Amino acid sequence: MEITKLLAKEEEMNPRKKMSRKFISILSTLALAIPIFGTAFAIPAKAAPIELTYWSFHYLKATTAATEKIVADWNKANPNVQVKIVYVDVNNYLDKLTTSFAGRTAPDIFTSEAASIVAYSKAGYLADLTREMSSLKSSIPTGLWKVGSFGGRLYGAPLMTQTYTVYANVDMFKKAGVAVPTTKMTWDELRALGKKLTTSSQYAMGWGLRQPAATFMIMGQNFGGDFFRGLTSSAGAKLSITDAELQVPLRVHQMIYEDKSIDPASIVLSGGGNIAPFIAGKFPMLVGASYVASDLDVAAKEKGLNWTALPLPTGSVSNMQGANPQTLSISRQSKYPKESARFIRYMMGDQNLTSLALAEALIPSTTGAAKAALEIKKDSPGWTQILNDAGALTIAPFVLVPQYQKWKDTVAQPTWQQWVQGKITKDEMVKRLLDGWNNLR
Amino acid sequence: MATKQKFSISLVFQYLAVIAYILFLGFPFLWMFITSLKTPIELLELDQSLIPDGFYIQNYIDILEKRGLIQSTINSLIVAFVSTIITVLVAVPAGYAMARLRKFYAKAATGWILFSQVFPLSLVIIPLFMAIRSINLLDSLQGLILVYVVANLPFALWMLRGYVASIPVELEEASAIDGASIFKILRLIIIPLLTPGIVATSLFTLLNSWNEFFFALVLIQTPERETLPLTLARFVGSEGQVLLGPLAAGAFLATIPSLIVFGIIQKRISSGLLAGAVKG
Amino acid sequence: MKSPSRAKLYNQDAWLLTIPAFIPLFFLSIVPLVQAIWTGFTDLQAGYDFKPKFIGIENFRRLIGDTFFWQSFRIGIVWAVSVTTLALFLGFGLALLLNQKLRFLGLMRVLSLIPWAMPPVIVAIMWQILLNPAIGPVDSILRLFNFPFADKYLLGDFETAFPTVVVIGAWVGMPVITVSILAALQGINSEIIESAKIDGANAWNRFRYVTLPAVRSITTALVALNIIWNFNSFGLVFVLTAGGPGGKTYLPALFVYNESFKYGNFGYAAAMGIVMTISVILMLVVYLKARERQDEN
Repeated sequence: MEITKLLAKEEEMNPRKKMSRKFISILSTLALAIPIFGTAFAIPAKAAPIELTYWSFHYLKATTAATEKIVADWNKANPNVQVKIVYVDVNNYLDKLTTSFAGRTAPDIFTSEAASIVAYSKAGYLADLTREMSSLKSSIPTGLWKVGSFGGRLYGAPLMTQTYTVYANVDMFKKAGVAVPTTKMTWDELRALGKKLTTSSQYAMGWGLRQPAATFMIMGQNFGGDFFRGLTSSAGAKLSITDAELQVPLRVHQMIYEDKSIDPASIVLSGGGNIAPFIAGKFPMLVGASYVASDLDVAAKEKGLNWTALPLPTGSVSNMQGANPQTLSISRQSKYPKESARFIRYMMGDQNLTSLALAEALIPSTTGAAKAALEIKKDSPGWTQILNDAGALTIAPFVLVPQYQKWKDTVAQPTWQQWVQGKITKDEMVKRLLDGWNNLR
Repeated sequence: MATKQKFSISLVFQYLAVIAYILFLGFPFLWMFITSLKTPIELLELDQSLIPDGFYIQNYIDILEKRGLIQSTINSLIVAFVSTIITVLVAVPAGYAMARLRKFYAKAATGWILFSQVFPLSLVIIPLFMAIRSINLLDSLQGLILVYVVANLPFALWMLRGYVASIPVELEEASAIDGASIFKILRLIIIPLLTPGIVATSLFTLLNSWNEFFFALVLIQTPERETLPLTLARFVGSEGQVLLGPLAAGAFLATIPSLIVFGIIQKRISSGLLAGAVKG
Repeated sequence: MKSPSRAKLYNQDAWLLTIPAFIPLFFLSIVPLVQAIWTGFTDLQAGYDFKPKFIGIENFRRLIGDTFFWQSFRIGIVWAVSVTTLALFLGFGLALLLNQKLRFLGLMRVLSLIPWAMPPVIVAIMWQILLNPAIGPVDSILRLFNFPFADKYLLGDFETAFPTVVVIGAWVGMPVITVSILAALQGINSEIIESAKIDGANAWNRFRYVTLPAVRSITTALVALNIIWNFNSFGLVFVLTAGGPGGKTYLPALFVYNESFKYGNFGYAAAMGIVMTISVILMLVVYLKARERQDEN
């Protein structure tokens, strides 16, 4: 048969087919050339000075600007120890960090949150900072220092932190003829305030409870709700749900379903989802984390929003809240732990920490920086309140429980979502929380 | 007359349905574009309007200037195109061989492909990371290209194998009798007939590599080598603190290249994207 | 007619052709995968100094009693099947329309590919914002049509969260299906349709006896592929709902991810992965066999 020849002949006559052959041969040459070509992408390594890698999950424009300024200043002053910033997407920070630990390519210095410190230090990923940071110990509240520690050693230097705050639209309070509490506010007073400000056309409060677990656990401290007991016993932590633990969930439930003072549309949103309605005047009070204040500042400037922060709600025990600060850690495999620690101390200097914390709209963790921030923000009553709340931060036992994360994700979060949306009774809630803990594998 | 009327009514319905589809598929994109033109304060308003107050191009300036979007776009283009070219070059002969080998081998290969596609990616990432590290290709575009080739190969092989199977084997047999080598047969007979399949496979590979996020996240460590999805992801921010304006601008810009590619090859797209996956 | 040269040709030289593909696949796909599978039989956990031990099927025994995993597994099956079904249905409809002789076809074809062209990192956050009752437009649009759930946050409400993520999943999956089915439709010989018309077959019968058989095999492939893709995807849903409310959208792929990256139980997570993979493949085999049997009849 002559098909091959025929084909060959046809090919000679058909320039398009020839083209395609040529095209493919060009492609293959290209592919072969890639390894050589590829080296052109590589960036030549610096020779003499040591380079520290710093991973940050920050992304707000103001924070990255502040970070860059700090690092530039440092690099200028320390020509032999250059710091290189790498921003990592905050939503995928965990994946990247875990893989780099496993692959021994972890950065020298990295941001983290205190809740991860127990797991990381247990796994042996982190360098002990106790000695290197001892000069800062006296200026960091004991609670925060403890949150960054495991087994009595510091593994995460607390950088800045947040509280759950009640924000108030002062103009709406005035219009309703309700006084804005300024010195102290109990949970009962908060509830009364809600009732007073609720009208037929308006709810008193927006409260984003899309992920209620953190809020309930952290504010649970107000009533002595520790959730986990027997942390030091060899049998491990035990979960107990008593009246103390139930206070916050019960009160929130009452405000939603009995008083109808919390906007039901707000509870299924995240904290951030309720900022726009609050600014637009949909409700006079908003419960949210500290960072909300930065958006409120924008709205104050552009639209004349008159906002403030109320005193932290006080329960039967205190107004203390569990803290989960952002931390700085050094990986154990870092070749330059001393230099890295020096950089952390530099970053936590009053001026630098203040600029970072204010950019991030969080409370700086050292007393010096908190004071400096207060000075800058002294004209804002809301900020003054928030910054003064730093003293109300403590360590909540759950951060020391290794199984807590899993229980939170698979049990507590779903159960409390159902509770908040009125799908289950109180007894069912308690049973699910406890059964879930016992069934955890 | 009656048939004509019926015809036009059904035509109206068809157009209505098309409009509904286009709205469903295209409205989010349009809304993204509108959002990208709004100022931060407009974005804090309740009930966003469909028409922005003006053209706030600062969002675009923000991402183009400060966030290394251009560098990461270049990186993404390099990675996507090079990995597509290599994938196709490697997959065409292998796909051909798979289609023509004994059924047993082909079945084993298909089984493997299936398994590797179903197994959760998050479990393979750490061993893969180690493998890439051992050949010193961590944090390099070459390493990423290699991973994308491997990630795209199973599907590309599966598709191309199907396309080859639809080519009658008699042509090759005749040539073989004439003494042509298998390489010659591949080059002269199979590849020309396989063009639609190659176009379709390339498109899949190109888009997958252009949009891929997880591998890039883990393997790339230096900002200068980031790909576009990595850079975009940093605009997303955490819950409630989205940098909406720049995010929308970045998303809009990142969608455009793919749409242009689609526009150019839209006639070819219809010539059988997945057809290869079915045959054989 | 089988020539002797065929066997020789295909079984000697053909191997050479697979080598360029096989080498990278071996080192970067087969080896890591085998390692990951092996992990499922060890107690590997995160940690520098952790020395994993072989523990046989202990992980699997533990998994049997893990009610949370099986709950999530069930959600995953329902999710994969519903998204695939809806996307197939919608994609088929669009493909039929695009196969008509309408105006602006080229433009419509490109527009119909938007979900595919958009970076997935963006898609999820975009929908979250679109659906936000305070600032997103979807809410206002639904209210315009008096939709029953218009006042609720579709992603946060117990009744609507799962259906909503399914619709968004279908939005993402539609383009590939549309394009593939459209291609098959265009392969139908128009003469067959014409002759069916002349024979007096109505539109439904033409669809039933001409169109459907023509797209049958591509549909089978699309269903299988989409089930795999959807079962394995969790990024979209994770951003949209983080598994909530009440665990209604806690997909098994997310479960595995959390178990390994968040809690550091690599061994246990790998066991989950193995169980999931085998179950899905079994499901697919049953499905494909059933289709094959139908084809034979």
